[in-house]
Amino acid sequence: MSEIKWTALSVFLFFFLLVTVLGFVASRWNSKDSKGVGSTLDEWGLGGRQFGAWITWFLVGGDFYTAYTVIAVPALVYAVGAYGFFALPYTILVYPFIYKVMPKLWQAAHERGCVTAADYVYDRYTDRRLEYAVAITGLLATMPYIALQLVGMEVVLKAMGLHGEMPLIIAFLILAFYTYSSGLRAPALIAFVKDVMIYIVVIAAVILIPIKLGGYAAVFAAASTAFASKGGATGTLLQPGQLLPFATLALGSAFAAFMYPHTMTGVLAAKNADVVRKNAIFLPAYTILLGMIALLGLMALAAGIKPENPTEVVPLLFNRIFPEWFSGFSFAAIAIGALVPAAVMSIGASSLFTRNLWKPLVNPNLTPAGEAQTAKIVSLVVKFGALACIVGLPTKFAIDLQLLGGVWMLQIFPAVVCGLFMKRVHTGGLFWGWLAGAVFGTTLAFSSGILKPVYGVVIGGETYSVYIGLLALALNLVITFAATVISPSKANQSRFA
Amino acid sequence: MPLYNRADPEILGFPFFYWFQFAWVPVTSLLTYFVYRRDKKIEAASHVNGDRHV
Repeated sequence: MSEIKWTALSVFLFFFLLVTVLGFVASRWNSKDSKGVGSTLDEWGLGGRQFGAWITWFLVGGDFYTAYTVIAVPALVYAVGAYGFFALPYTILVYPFIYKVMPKLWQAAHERGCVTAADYVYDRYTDRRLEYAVAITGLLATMPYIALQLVGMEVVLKAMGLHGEMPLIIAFLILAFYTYSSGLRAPALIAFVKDVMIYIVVIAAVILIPIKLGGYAAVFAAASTAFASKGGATGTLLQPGQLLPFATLALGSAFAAFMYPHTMTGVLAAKNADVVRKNAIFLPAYTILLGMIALLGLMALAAGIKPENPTEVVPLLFNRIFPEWFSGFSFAAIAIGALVPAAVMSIGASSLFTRNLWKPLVNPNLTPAGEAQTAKIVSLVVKFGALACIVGLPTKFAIDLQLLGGVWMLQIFPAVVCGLFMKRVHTGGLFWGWLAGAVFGTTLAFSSGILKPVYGVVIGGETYSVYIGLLALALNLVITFAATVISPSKANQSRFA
Repeated sequence: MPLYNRADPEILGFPFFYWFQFAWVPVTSLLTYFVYRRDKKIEAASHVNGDRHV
């Protein structure tokens, strides 16, 4: 483990250099504005809003299915089995939702020149409180997510024998600089390479590894035996008490997924609403990929991989099964898989900060060029913040914050989605609903002493464990609707009707 | 949910719980495609009639 694997490292470095070059070249890619990609936030943060169906497919696929996913989903499946598969129904349920909601949001954002979800919310309700609420939620939820991308990268670097923080810092510095100069065009271009590499790796893995382990039936049987000897709430099927948590986690995650600034950015950068609709049809291809990635957890168990930390299962499995050069290729795919979402997340977060906090609160006279410049600098700050977080704090801090981030992200759902479908929504109801949902969700998450995503609701002596995000969202919606019904005079008329 | 939390019938060594969920991916994709086709037709028809598309 501690020796540097030179063959793997050489392959890794080759691909890493390739995407670095692409990242900088992207700044000249198809800019409509003669002043270059950094001239306005529309150009820098949304790539000029001109991405067609294919580029959007690679970009959204590349930043929704992150490097952390590739590491964490198999790690969870390795640890608990079937329960970790909630990621599969989650990423199935999300697409009908995208089809229904996101083209409408794209249309509204396009007509009114909105760059972020908070822009849309302010434009729709003309209420600064709600705008700040949406912006702060997005920032809080995205920061730990960026940090976790670093964890993904750290794990593969370690598997090649590179220890310490220096390689990670260098990789992130490179990322920070090309994001600064190229904006969203950099991850959009790199996403092509990343996604093609990930597909190759995963398809090779799900064919080769079971062959070495004696077929899928043998993999499932061996995993089942391993879970049986381990005991607890594990197994290749769900335990009775896991049904409801599994279903509610999948549903809640699906509702939250496209509220995040990075997924929102990918959608708003599309050329038109039809591109978004087509992507709702074709993006599920990545869900198949995710399902296969999840299976790696069971394969690792069947192969008898014993990691110190479950996050190491995928790299250890690849090192065991693949020839060294292909391990290097796989690790490059995962590391590049961290760069794409980290770039888009930092762009989404810095756009939110600049347009929805800095401009209204500090500098109302900010010009479009000033906005772009501020966002570029903030994107550097955001990334260094995430880096400092991973280097200086325990990883558990980022993981816990990311879990809470999902609960918080769900609380902007009413403000974003109700506004698109309802003529009248009470603005105060949305704001207090958001606050109550966030506080209630956070309290429930900590109620058992340790941070947990599910809470046992007792009804008539029976306990039903439900995802906390959904419980908080229910409270949020009750407040929003109650306010809208009780005080319709204060509910505002849609400006898009 | 309890509907698919079982091992049998197996396909290619995959317990029901796994292949059933995988199978839903192309099904969802196809259903979305049919809705898309229908929406396109409605849109085209409303353009022909000169209606304002809602």
